[in-house]
Amino acid sequence: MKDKSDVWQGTLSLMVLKTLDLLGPQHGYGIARRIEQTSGELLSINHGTLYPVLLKLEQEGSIASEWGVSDNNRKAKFYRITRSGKKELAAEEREWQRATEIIARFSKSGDQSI
Amino acid sequence: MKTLRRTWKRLLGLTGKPRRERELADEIASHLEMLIEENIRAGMTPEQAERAARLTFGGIEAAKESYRDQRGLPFIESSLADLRYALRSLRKNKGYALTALLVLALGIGSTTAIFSVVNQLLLKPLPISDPDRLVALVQGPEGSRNMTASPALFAHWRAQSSVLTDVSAFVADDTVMNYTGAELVEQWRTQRASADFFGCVGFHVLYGRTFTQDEDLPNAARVVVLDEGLWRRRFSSDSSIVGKTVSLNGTPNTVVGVVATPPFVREFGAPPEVYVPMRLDPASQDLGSYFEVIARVKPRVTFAQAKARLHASADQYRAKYPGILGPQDTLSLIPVGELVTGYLRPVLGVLLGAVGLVLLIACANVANLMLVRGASRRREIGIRAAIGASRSRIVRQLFCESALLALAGGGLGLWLGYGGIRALLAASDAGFPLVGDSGEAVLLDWRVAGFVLLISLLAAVLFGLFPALSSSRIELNTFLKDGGQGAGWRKSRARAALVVLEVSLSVVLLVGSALLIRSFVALYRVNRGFETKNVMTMQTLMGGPKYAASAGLADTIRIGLDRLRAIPGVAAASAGEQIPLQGVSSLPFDTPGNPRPAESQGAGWAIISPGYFDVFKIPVKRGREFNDRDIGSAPAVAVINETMAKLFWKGHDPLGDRISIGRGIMQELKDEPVREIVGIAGDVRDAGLQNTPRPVMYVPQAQVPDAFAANFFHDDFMKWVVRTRDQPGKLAPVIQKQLQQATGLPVSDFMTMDQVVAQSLSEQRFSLLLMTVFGGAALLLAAMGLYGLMAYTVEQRRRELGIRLALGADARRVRNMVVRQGMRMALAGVLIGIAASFALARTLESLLFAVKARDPLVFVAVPVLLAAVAFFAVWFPAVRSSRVDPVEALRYE
Repeated sequence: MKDKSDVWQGTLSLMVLKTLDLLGPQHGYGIARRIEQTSGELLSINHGTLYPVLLKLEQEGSIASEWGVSDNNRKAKFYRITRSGKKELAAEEREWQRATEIIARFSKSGDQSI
Repeated sequence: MKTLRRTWKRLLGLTGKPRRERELADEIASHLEMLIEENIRAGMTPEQAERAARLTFGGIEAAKESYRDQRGLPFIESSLADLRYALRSLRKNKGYALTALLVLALGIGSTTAIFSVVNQLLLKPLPISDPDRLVALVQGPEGSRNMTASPALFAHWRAQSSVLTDVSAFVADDTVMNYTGAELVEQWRTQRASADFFGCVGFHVLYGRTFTQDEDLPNAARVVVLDEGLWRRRFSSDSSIVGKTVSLNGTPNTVVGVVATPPFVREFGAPPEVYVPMRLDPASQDLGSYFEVIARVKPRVTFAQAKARLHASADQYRAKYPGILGPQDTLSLIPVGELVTGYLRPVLGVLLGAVGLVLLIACANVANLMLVRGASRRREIGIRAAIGASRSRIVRQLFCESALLALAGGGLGLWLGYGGIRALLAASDAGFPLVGDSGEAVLLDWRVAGFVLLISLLAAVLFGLFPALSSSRIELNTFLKDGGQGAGWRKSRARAALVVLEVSLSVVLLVGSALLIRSFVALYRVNRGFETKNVMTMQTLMGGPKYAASAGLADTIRIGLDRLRAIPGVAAASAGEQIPLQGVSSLPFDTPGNPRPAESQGAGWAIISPGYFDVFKIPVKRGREFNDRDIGSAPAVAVINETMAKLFWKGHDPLGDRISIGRGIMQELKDEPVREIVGIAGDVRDAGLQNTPRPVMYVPQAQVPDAFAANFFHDDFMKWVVRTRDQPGKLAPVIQKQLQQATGLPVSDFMTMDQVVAQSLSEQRFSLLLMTVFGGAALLLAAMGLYGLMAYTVEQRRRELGIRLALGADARRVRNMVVRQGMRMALAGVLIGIAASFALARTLESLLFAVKARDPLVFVAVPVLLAAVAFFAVWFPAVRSSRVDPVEALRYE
């Protein structure tokens, strides 16, 4: 249970950071929608699971939040990426890059051996 | 860094919970509304839109829950919840909580009480600077605490300057001087001390200075140092007193300084008000021991090195003064702290062990309560387990309750024990050192507080962990099937084991207190050799030139005694330099023409007036006692006791033999005549009731050499003893008035001889009292445990007993069955307890008198007592068991 959610939290937080980096300050709804759109609707998340991730990122200092007013005049909490969040994002992206490369190589070599 | 920051934020997350909850709810609400709006824009009805939004968002409560887990620190939050829950559950079961609390407070309180005394006496350093270097110089066999020293020995010790510094002499006995400078004569408590004494102990000099070495020589001009207390009271804190003279015993003395007496000095007697120099002759070869010596071990010299040096020096001393040190004797040193409190170590050790047992019994008792409670909470625990609580979570929650109980019990116990021991010390006349007059010096410090915290937590582990583990062991399947009924056999076995433990521990404690009681009774019953019934004592200070010669002193005594004997109701009266149980002195002796055995180290030396044996009804076995004709000009005589006759005459008749006392030992005894032994008196336990009678020589006061009287009686107390025909209390005012008129001296310190005896046993009484209280508490707790368990078992077996009775079982047999079951446990406990006591009794040996550590009577009486109490504890539940109404018991199901 725990491990799986940790992995999920890890990837999700990377997506959150990337979203905020690209789009600037966003509220939770905006972030969730953006992740669904970017993943080409492949990934449909329960929006609720986003909030623990946002809290963790904020506690770590990667994002900051403040209350504001949304486009249609609704009170909402806006998150923005911080400087240390940007650094974090860069490092995470590199990690993922390497991980996917390695996984890709493994899959390829597996194909050949069969 | 990231984790640290996050932990910090999470710690912060523990605060401001309501605000954080509100914000989270707002955020989620606004998220949902955005989803709904979007769905409506896409053409859904509001109901459909809301439903779809909720689906997209997922479980709101689940999201919140996992958000909360991230926000704070769940462990702390759930612990706080445990705490709240434990409080609520204890409040709901007031009877149980109160019982457990009281039992714990009793156990922890008594442990705290003893520990705070141990802390004050043995753990805290003495309240002086560098206490480890302050030593008492002693002579005698290895381990001796004999601090008395002679001028010759003092000079020898001062010569050991390679290891010792500030070697100083002082007289430990209380004495007073009469201040004759005011209208009324006033008594000042006086301390004789050599010049180095002040620096050695570490006095704070307020004004002026202490004695110089020159002022501490014989024939030096008379000087005194005043204590701060006297100076404030008598001289209104006037610092110009320094340099002026005060008149003491009719002689002018120059005040050279005012000092603050360290509290530590009071351990050697009542706090002195005035200090006078020892004025010892450094070249003196006198061997009479009448003062004490302390010193400091030099810096950079270890205690062991100093000891080795003194041991080695004993040979030089022996060579210089042959016959003074016995072959087994040596010169040595002991830390002053050891001297002041070390002798209490065995007593305190035993008491601490005893309270430890009480605490254990208390823990076993509470553990039993918890097990019983755990059984009745099976349902609750089962439900918790069924809805997903892990076992560790349940144990934690149960343990939290124990810890809460233990800490509350500890707090209560601290208060009880701390207040209790002070009250006890205030009430006791045991005169423990360093505790103040009424125990007020026993303070709460970090050691005591830490100790209480530690034993409370230890108690929580002892009584809480095992029941928590045992109660949480629930087979969910069985539980759900039989609905949480029925107690596990395993648990009732655990409870039985606890009760057996309680009984056996209380046997150990009771054996201990019974042994002390037996030896205390033996001490009271021992043949003292003197009568105390209707005997009382009082004292007068014989100060002034009139009493500097034996004849003058004897005149006053005779006048006083004549007056006392004339009082109707007075059966006998006498006087003495010392009376039984109030200090002793001894001197070497010689028997001219009758070589004395080499091993003799001297004998007790008692200076008495005629009638002394009559007052105390000490039998004069042969010959005669002293009479008014035994004066200075008459032939010199002495009376010895039976032990002395047996030890040194070995079957020969000592009557008519000659004896020479203290010859060549000190200047003051050079005129001591050779005496004829005219009588043999019965033995007296005069040096403590626990000590076998020692050899004693009695000499008539009128025949003591003048030089000795001048130096030692003069400025000292004369003790008067009177035996009345009736209760002495009524006559006391008359006696005091008559004696005061006859002698012209203030009469003080009235005491009956029974009080003197009681006082000499006060320390034993103190430990006896505590041990009895502990033993009683243990007995009570064990009985409670036994009763509780049996009552519970009967309650549990109601149905079974009901069926038995319904099927025609004899009520008496049912009752007996329960009694048997209970008594089996009790007897098992008694047996284990006896075995343990048998092994442990030896630790008490040093506190016992005339009773063997494995006294058969004690080892029979205690088990019988325990069995009787156990029977009572078992009887009531058993009777209840035989009165179970079968119909009701079956309907109850």
